[in-house]
Amino acid sequence: MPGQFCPHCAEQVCQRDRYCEQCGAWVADLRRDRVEIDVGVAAGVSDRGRRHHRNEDALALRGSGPSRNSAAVAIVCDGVSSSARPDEASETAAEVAAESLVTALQTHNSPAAATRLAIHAADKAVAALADAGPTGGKTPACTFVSAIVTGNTVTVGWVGDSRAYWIPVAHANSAPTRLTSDDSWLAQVVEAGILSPAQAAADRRAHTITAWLGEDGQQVEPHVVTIEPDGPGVVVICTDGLWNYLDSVEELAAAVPAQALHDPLGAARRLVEVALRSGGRDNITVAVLPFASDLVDASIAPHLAMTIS
Amino acid sequence: MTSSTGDFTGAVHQNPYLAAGTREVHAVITVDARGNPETAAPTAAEVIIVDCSGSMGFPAEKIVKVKEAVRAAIDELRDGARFALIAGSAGGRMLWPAEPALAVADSRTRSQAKDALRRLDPGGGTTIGAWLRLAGQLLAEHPAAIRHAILLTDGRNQHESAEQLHAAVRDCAGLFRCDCRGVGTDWSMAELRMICSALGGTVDLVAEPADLAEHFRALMATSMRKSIAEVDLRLWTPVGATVRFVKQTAPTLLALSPHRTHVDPLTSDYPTASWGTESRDYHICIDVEPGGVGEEKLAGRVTFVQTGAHGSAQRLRQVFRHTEPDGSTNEFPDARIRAIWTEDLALSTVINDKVALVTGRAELAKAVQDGLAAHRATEADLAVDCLNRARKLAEEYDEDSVLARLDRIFDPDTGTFQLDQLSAREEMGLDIESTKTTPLSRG
Repeated sequence: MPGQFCPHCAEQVCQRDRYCEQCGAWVADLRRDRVEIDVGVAAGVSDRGRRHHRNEDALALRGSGPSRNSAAVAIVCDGVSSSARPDEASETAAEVAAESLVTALQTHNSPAAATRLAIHAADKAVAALADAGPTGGKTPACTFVSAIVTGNTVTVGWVGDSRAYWIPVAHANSAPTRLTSDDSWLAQVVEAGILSPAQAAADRRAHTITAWLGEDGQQVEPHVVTIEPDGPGVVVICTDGLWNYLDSVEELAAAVPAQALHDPLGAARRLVEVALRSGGRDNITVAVLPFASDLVDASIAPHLAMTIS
Repeated sequence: MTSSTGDFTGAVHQNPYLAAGTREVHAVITVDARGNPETAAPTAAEVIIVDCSGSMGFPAEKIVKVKEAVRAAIDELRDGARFALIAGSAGGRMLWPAEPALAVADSRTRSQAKDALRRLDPGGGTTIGAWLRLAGQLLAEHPAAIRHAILLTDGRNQHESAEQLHAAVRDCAGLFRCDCRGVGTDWSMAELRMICSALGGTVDLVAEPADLAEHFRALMATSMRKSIAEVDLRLWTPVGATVRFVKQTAPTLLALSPHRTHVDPLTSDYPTASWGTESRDYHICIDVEPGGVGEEKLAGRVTFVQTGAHGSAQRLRQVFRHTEPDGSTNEFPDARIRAIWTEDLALSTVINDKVALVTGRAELAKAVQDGLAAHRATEADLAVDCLNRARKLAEEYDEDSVLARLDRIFDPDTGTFQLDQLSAREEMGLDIESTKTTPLSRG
C-alpha cells in the first residue's frame, strides 16, 4: 500500500497510527474508512463509524459464473478489537473466503459445502497472520458471515456475532427472519435459560463472542444454513455496528428500503446511514443480496432476471 | 546493549476533547517498570560522599552514627559492584581506596573500606561542588554501569561560591544519580533540592543521627535493585506545539523540563535516570496549534529509550493502555496524547480524574512551600493563608501525612497556624513531605 500524505502539510502520514509525522493531524484511511462495492447482483458498504479510529470491518463481494450456475457471493468480517491487527484479520478472512467460495462453486460444490470450505480457508489464513508480524502475545481474530444467493437458494455461514437476515419483499407471504444465531455470551446464557434477554443484555459480558476465526490450533465450527425462499426478497448480512441499533428482525426489516430488490447499493447505504445517525459507535458493514426466485416475473426484478436466469 | 533489561507497562489518562479554538492538552502517564535480573544486569557503581567538615564533630555522637551508617551501606553492596568512599571537607579526598578509582566489592574490600572509616576525623569546611566533581571523575570511568552517589551533609555549602556548586552540578548531570541526605537541621533544603533535581534522586531529612544507618541501608538496597540504566522519557510533539512542562508526579514531585535535551526539532529527551522494578507517574502539558472542530491531532507521543554509552538511543520494550472516550481500551507501543476539538461542552469541560489528582497534589506542594517561604520572610498573614489552603488541599486529596504535620501547628479554635511553634525540624519535615507522593491507582 503506498504511503498517504497529510492534507494540511503534505508530509508523510505514519502508516501505523495515521497521524501526520509533522503536524500531528489525524488523517483518515482513504482505502478503508468508507468502502462501497457494487457487483450488480449484490452490493455492500463498510464504514468506520463515528467513534473508532480505523475500520476493522471488511467486506468482499463477487458476482460469479455465467448463466444458469451464477451466484452472488458476499462476505462480511469484523476484526476482534482486543486481538492483534484486527483490521488485517478481517480483510484477510473476507478476501480468502471470497476466492475460496468462487472456486468451490465453479467446481460444483454445493453452496453449503463451499461455505464450509471457505470458512476453514479463512480461519487458516487468519491464524497464519500471527506468524507474519507483531502480535503482542494475542492472535489476530475476526468474526465471519457469508451469503450465497443462487437462482433458488440462499445459503449463509457464520462464526461469531455478525448476522444474516432474510427480508422478503413486502407483498410476499413469508415473514422477515434472522438466519444466524450469535456465538456470544449473551446468546449462550439466554438459550440455556440462565438469564432473560434483558438481564443478559445489561451484563458487561453481553457482547463477548464465544467463537471467531484465527484461533491457533483450534478447529473452527462453521454454522451453515440454507433456505429456499418461495418469493422475492433480499438477504442482508452485517456486523454488530448495524444490528446494535436494530436488534430485532422487525426493526431491521423496517429500515430496509422498499427498493432494495432493485437497488442493493442504495439499501446498504441507507442501513449504514441509520447506524451512523444513531451514533456510529462501532464500525458498520452491510451487504445486500437480492433474491428473485426462478418463479419471479422478470418485470419485478428486470436487472436480476437478466443476470441470474 | 540488550533490549531485554526491562519492560515498561503504562497507561495514558486524559480527556482528549478540547473546546474549539483552545490549545492546552494535559495527560497523565503511569508507568510500571519491571527490571529483569535474569539477564546480565549492568554493574552498579556507587560513591558514598561523607561530609567530614568540622561541624560533624558536634555532638561527638554524630560522626559515630555517620560511620555506622556508611558501614551499613557498604554491607548492602553486592559482590562485583564498584565503589568508593569520599571524605568531604575543604575539597574532596579519597577515603577509600587511596587512589582515585572505584574498587570491586568483595568481602576483603568491604572490610578494608570499613577500616578506612576509622581514620575519618571531622575538620575543615564544606565544599559540596568539589565533592561532586570528584565523584563525577570516578564514575565517568564506568559509562556502562548504573552510576549512583549518596551524599551526606550536615551543613551549607559555605566554603565555595554558589556559582561553583551550580557549575559542578551542571557538569555532573547525566553522569550519575545522587540521593542527598541532610542530617540535623543546619543544611540547606534549596541546595540539596537543586542537586537532586539536576542529577535525579531524592532529598530527605535525617533529624536524628541514630536513624542514619537505616536510611543508608535502604538507599543502597534500592540502588542495588536498579537494573535498567540511563532511561530517558522521549517526547515528540507536532510542529507549532510548545511543551509547557513534563513533571514526575510520583513517587516524588520532580520537574523534568529544565533538564530536557533536543533530539530533533520535534523531539526532546527528559532524563529519568535508572530504574528497578518500580512505578512512576508523569504529568505532561502541551500547547498545540488548534485544529478545526471535529479534527483530531496527535499532541504528543511518549516512549522510553535507553541512551547507550555512545549516545545512541535504544527503545525499551513497552506497551501503553489507552482508554477511548466510550470506555473501550487499546494498547499501543507508544503513549499517545491526543487532542480532538469539539463544540460540545459536555465533552470538553470534563477533567480526567487522574489529571485532577496530580494537579491538586502539585498545588498542595506549592501551597506548603509558598507558606514556608512566607514564614521565613516573616510575612505571617501570607504564610497562614497559604498553609490554610494547603490544609484544605491535603484534606481534599487525602494527603494524610502532610495533613498530620499541618495539624500539629493548626489551632482549630482560631482557624490559624501557630507558626512560632514551628521548629526547624518540623519545617524541613513538612517541606519534604509535601513533595512525596504515592503512585496513582493503576485501575
